[in-house]
Amino acid sequence: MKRVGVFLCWCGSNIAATVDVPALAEYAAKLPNVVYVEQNKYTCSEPGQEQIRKAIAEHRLNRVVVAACSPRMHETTFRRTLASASLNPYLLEMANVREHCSWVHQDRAEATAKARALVRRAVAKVQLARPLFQSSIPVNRRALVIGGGIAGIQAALDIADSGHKVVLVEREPTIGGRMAQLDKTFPTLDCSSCILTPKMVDAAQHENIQLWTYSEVEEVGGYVGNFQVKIRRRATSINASACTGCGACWEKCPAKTGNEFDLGLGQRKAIYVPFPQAVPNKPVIDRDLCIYFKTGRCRICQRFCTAGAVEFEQQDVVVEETFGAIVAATGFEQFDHAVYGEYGYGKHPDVITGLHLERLISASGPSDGKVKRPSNGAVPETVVFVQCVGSRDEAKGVSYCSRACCMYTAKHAIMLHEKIPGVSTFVFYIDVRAAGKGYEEFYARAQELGAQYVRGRVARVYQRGDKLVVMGEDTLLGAKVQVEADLVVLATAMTARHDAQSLARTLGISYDQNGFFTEAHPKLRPVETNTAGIFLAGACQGPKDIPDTVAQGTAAAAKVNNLFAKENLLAEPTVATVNEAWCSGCLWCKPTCPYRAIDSKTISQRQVGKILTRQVATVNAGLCQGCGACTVACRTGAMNLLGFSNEQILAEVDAICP
Amino acid sequence: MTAWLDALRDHVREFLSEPGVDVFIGYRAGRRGREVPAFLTRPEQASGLVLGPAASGALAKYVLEEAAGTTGRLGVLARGCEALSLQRLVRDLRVERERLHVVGVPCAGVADLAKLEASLGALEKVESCGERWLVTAGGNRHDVDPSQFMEERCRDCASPWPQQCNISFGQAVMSPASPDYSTVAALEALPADERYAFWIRQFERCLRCFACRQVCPACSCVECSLDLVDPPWLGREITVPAQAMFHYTRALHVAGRCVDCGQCQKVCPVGIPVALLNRKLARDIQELFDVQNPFVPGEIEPLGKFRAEDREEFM
Amino acid sequence: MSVGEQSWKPTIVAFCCNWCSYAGADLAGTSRLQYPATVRIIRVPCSGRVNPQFIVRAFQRGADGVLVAGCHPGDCHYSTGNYYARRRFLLATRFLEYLGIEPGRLWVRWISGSEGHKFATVIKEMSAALERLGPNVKLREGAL
Repeated sequence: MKRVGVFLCWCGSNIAATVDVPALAEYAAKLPNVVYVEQNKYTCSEPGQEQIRKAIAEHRLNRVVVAACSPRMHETTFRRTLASASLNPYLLEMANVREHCSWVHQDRAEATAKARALVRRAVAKVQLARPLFQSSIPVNRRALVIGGGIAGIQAALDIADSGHKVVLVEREPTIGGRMAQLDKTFPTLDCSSCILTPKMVDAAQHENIQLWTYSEVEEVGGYVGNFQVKIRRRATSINASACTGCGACWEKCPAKTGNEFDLGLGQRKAIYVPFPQAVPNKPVIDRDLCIYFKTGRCRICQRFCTAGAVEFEQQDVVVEETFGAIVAATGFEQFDHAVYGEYGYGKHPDVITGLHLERLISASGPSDGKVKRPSNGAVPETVVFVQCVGSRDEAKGVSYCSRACCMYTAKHAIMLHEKIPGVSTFVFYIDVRAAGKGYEEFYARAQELGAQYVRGRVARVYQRGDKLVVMGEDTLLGAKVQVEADLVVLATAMTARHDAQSLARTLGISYDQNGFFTEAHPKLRPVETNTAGIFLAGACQGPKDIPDTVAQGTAAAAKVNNLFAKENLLAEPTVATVNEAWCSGCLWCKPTCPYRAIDSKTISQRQVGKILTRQVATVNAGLCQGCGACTVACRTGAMNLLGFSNEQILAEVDAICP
Repeated sequence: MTAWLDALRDHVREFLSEPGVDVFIGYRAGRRGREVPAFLTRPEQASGLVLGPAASGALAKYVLEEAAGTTGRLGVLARGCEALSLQRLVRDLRVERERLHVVGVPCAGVADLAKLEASLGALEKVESCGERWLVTAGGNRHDVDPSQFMEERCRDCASPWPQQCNISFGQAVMSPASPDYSTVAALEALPADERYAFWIRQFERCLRCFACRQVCPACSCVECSLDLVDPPWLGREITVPAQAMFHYTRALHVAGRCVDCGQCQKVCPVGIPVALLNRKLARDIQELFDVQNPFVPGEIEPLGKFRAEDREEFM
Repeated sequence: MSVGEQSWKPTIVAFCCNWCSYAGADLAGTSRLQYPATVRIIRVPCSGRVNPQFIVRAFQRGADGVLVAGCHPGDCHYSTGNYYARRRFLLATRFLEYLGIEPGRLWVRWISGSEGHKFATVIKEMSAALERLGPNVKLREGAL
């Protein structure tokens, strides 16, 4: 038997001045199953709440309607009131007679009539309310960080420093990512390695961090607090505990190729560490290049390894691990600027990208820090920088601004002026974006040192003699510009990893039209995803510079720590639920779920003496956030939403109409 | 006699001899010139297979009954519309495609038997003979122009040739480039009040026999929301608004999943133009969501996906 | 009932998503924006929760107009719910017209949590439009 109590709040005069509350009380008393009605000056006050508790006990109420302000204001308050009176908190319904009625209408009769409909609706809905219980999900306090660039390292360190275990997975043989390739960082010109390598070492040595390089995430199942992740640990062919990192193997190895770390400007062997400060500083064997793996002969490295660490027979291992939270920090790629054929990249060796220049400037780079023209090794006298190659170009590239290029170009100009006395630098730009602490000053410094900024796009770069002729336009002067350059540096756009979408699907998170992972809210939840327990850090979410990346790494770690502060997660019980007897298993509900909370399962049914097995939908309450999109996709109504059920909404419509 | 019918029978005979085969669903000769659904389980029954203009009942949905609680393979004879119906059932995960052995046959339209009977008398046999039909009725043989006596649903058929079959017999038939929505457009041209009056006249007659749902390959739910007392989607009361709600719901439930087989309208005992509701939704789906042919089951139904740049004409 | 009669005011049933449109209506309240007492709100978690059958149900039970209000595309709290709602109601709006319901009876609007003004404006405009249309009798129980 439903016994509904209705509590009508005056809210001082906020409601009572416009709505005739005594008349409303009289009306409410006649509604079905309403056994008790009370008016309060302030229902939310302690005495008001006490009245509810008393009435629940005295009148054996099992449903409560509070007609007062917005449920967005006080639903939590009154749910607690019910709970303190030993009534399930979800047996409450509020009628919003303040924000939606007394505050927006003046005519007392009209407002009162509307309030009647609103109370009628609440009474009708609460009849069909069921006790709901928050489910408790145990949290496995162990985090997975995918990507060992500065974002991932920062996140891993911050989580580990809070006392939680972290596995840091990196697909390359070393952590460090893009930042390791940089020479200096703007706007302070700190040496990139000097600030990064200590963090790399910290991460490797941290007692709470397991570093899994040369590894990739293959499968992710489960949900917040309990992700089951399959990680492929590729065979390095080296026994890492035996290897001393002496380097004898890669000195003797006869197979060579362009070093990816130096973007092909230098060479590496088949057995190699990507760069001298690599962490872990143990080589791997590139099996596609290794002569032994190709022909079955060679084994020179093994012969020269005094530690006996070379193990050709190693196999990939796929491990399955459980994590409570995941941070995606997979970084970015450079835009493939081959579409700008007119810039001559690939045709003229002296047309390079900003990242190439980083390697050329770097003291540990292939030219030992001497900037030389790749074509003839001469020191360049005139250098042209081309901005927005791919960025802000919807026709050929991407529509967004890559954010870091203006500043790193200023940095390059400054460094060239410092390294090469008398050098001329020209920067072709569309706009200079120097919004950041110390950025505008940094840009000004580049100009002071002699960098000439030309506003306009470059139309063409072609070879004349051993020079490159850069044809462009100065849109401020409205004149054609032609520069004879020794080196042309393209500021290529930052783009999402080519396989970012596939990782997004593996993780069950969304991505935007550019392939960047989508945050749960662009302002208020910038490092969360729509999948609970999965967070974002760094350029995988969108182009950003190092300070922003580090800040996001720390923010993602804070979110993980937040999650790990609890032993159990309480999940809202207003989630979708399946009536298995009605479900046909068509699973058309599944594509509408943004959280991948719907799956199928097999049930057995007895029917005419036979046991039939069939598929039905099932909802993972840990993943479901209760949006209800699936309920409409379900024709039978087998998929229903607790707290907003089909029965309830139909009853509300019936009650709210005249 | 259709030239390839013997080959079809041979094939079915062979199929039924294979191990792990449960049944072949086709047509056999019935009484009064009818050709009725046949459920063949033994090879020797294959010789009884027939396929003429009088074989007009839907077969696809029988698959569900035959498949329940069994594991063997099921053969089904499929014209264009039936092949789509089977695809529908497969896409709705009601039967595994691997279990089906779909035998495709061409179709140039089936006979409206009631109409034939009304004008020629009691039917004894309906045969196709080239472009014409030979009808034995009332003791006489008639040479009949099929276009006069074809079922209405076949007149503007958009998919006469069965797709995605395991094997096909006969000559492939060309499909029109786009489904025909002229009947929808004609109704849309009316003023709102006249259109309302038109539909109310239709819904008033509805007996709520649910035959349209029973025959529909897109209506295969184990439980239908329209049968449920709780939640009261429909209500028990028989009122015109409730009838309207029934038809509105049924049409929206098959929106994006209807294959335009036309059986719903054909089986309606009071002649409600049910397919006219389906086609309206299909036309809008084609137009609004850039679906090439809304009657062909897709990977994800049009209402189960979206584009960020979808129209907002309701603003 | 004719348009000229002063006594008649339309009834609007509004399905408002909890995160945007319901909050927008709350903001209209806290800002004390005045609008006609025609609208009655049913709170749903998301516009994607609104079943097109609820719309006809409201007309059956005597609503003169129905408003479905959700977050702006791209702002859905659940990221995609309003996109599904948009497809469903693109179709349902046209379908209701096909059945002979006047175009102005069903409104679908995106109203964010900061758009108290928009909420009030939509209700004013919709009420005025429905007053011009007059009471709805189509599909209404008891009217046929």
